[in-house]
Amino acid sequence: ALKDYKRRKWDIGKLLYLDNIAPEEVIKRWKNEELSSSAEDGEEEDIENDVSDPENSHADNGDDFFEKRTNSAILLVDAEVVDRTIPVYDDAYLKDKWGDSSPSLTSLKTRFVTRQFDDSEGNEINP
Amino acid sequence: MVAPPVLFSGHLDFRMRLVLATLSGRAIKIDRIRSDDMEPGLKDYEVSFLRLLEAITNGSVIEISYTGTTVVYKPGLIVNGTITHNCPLSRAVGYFLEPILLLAPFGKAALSLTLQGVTSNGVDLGVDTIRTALFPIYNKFGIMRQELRVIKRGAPPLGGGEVNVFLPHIVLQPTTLHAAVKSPAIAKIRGVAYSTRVSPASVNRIIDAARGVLRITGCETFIYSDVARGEESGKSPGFGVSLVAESRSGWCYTAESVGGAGETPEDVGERAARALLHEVSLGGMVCRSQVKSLIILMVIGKEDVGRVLLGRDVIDEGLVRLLRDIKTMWGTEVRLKEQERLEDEDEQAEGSEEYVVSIKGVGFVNASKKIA
Repeated sequence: ALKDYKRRKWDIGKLLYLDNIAPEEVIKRWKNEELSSSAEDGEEEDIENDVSDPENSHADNGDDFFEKRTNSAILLVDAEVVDRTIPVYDDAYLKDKWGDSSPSLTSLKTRFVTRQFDDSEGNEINP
Repeated sequence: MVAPPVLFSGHLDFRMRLVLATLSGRAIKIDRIRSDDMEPGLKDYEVSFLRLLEAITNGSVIEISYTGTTVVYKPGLIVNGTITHNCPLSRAVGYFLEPILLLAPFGKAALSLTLQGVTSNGVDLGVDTIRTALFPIYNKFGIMRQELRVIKRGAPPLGGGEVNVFLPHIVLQPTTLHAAVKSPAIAKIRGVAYSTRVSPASVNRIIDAARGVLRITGCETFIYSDVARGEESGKSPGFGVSLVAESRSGWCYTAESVGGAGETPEDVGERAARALLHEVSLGGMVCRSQVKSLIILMVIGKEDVGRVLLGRDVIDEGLVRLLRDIKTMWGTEVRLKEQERLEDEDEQAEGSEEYVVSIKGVGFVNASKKIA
C-alpha cells in the first residue's frame, strides 16, 4: 500500500495548497512521479535519497556547491535563501545539453522562426 | 478597523510579501527572520528596501524589532513622486526595482525613481533585462510607457552606477490576461552586451561568442554593444550581456550573464546564450525571471478568470511559495492543469510539458485612482 502511495500520480493542483507539505517537497513529489514512470526500477531508492536531500543541502552549501549535479539545469542551491531572481544554472549541464550536436537542439529549433523564413515574409512584417 | 496583521515566518520572499501587503492594504508581521543564523535579522538590502517602500508610500508604518528578526509592516497609500534611492552594493538595483514595478502603476502619481548602485550582478535582474523583458510583461496587462535610462553602469563590487526609471502610467487595475493557447515562436533574438572599465574589445568578444551558440537556431540575432566610458562607467571593471528571445506577439524569454572572477568574455557570452536556449526550451509564455511578476499582476486583476501557459520546469518551489502567500493574503487559489497537446505537436521537445494556470482576479482597485 505504501508503495502505491509513493507511486501515485500527484496532481500539482492538489499538492499546491496542502500546507503540511513543504514547497520543496511539493515539487519533488510531483516531479518524482514523472521520473519514476520512465525508470521503473530503483525508483524507491530515488525517493529515499531525495527526501533526505534538503537536510544535506542546508548543512553544507560551501564545498558541495560546485559538485552537486542533478539531471536538471535547475540546481537545488540556496537560490531561495538570497531571494534571487535570475535562476541558478549548471554550466556543465547546459554545455552538454545545448552543445553543437546535441539532440535537444533539433526539437528546440522548431520554436524559432528561421532567418530564411524571415527573408521571404520579412517585407510584409517589417517594411 | 484594526485587523490583526497577517503572519509570515522566515526571511524567504521578503520583497514579494511586502508587495502583496502593500497591494492588499493589509498589515503583515514577519517573524523569525534568520533567527537561527549567525547574523540574525534583516540584511542591509532588506532594510534598504523597506526604506524605499516607505519613500514611495504615504502613511506606512514599519516596526523592526531590536534584534531585527521581526518586522511589522502596515502599508500606506502608494503615492510615488520623484525619489532617489541609494542601493547597498550587496544587491543590484534590480532587486529593488522588480517589486517597485509592481507597485508604481497603482499609485497616485507618476514615479520617477533614480537608483544608484550596482546595475547588474548576475543574481538580481539586470537593468537591461528589466527594460527588454519585464516591461513587455507589463504591457500585456495594459501598463505602458515605462522608461528606463542607464545613466551610469556600475559593476560589482563597487558599483557607482545610476539608472533613472520613469513610470508615468497609473492604472485602475491590470487587464485580464488570456494567454494559454500555445507557447510563442521566437521571431528574433536581441541583446545588449556591455562593459565598464575594461577594453572595449571584450564586448565584441561576448557578442561573437553568444552569436556562435545562437547561430544554430537560425533566428535573426542582433546584440547591441554598450561600452561605458569615463564618467558613465561606475567604479569597478566588469562586463556582461543580457539576451532576449522575442516573439511577434510580444512575449519573450530572457537570460543574462555577468563576468565573474577569471572569466573570459567568451565564457560570459556562451553561458548567457545557452541559458537563453534553456529558458526557451522550458516552454510556456514566460521564463523564470518573469513568472512571479506575471502571477502577481494576474492575481490583482478584476474578478475574472485569466489564463496563462507555463512550462513544467517554470513551476518551482519559489512559485509554490508565492501562490501560498497569495492564498494567505487574499484567499485566492489558482488552478493548475496540464495542457492537452494538439496532435501535430507530438514530435515537439520531450521536456516541454506545459501547464495552464487559471487565476481569478481578486477585484483589486487602485485606491488612489478610485477617488479621482
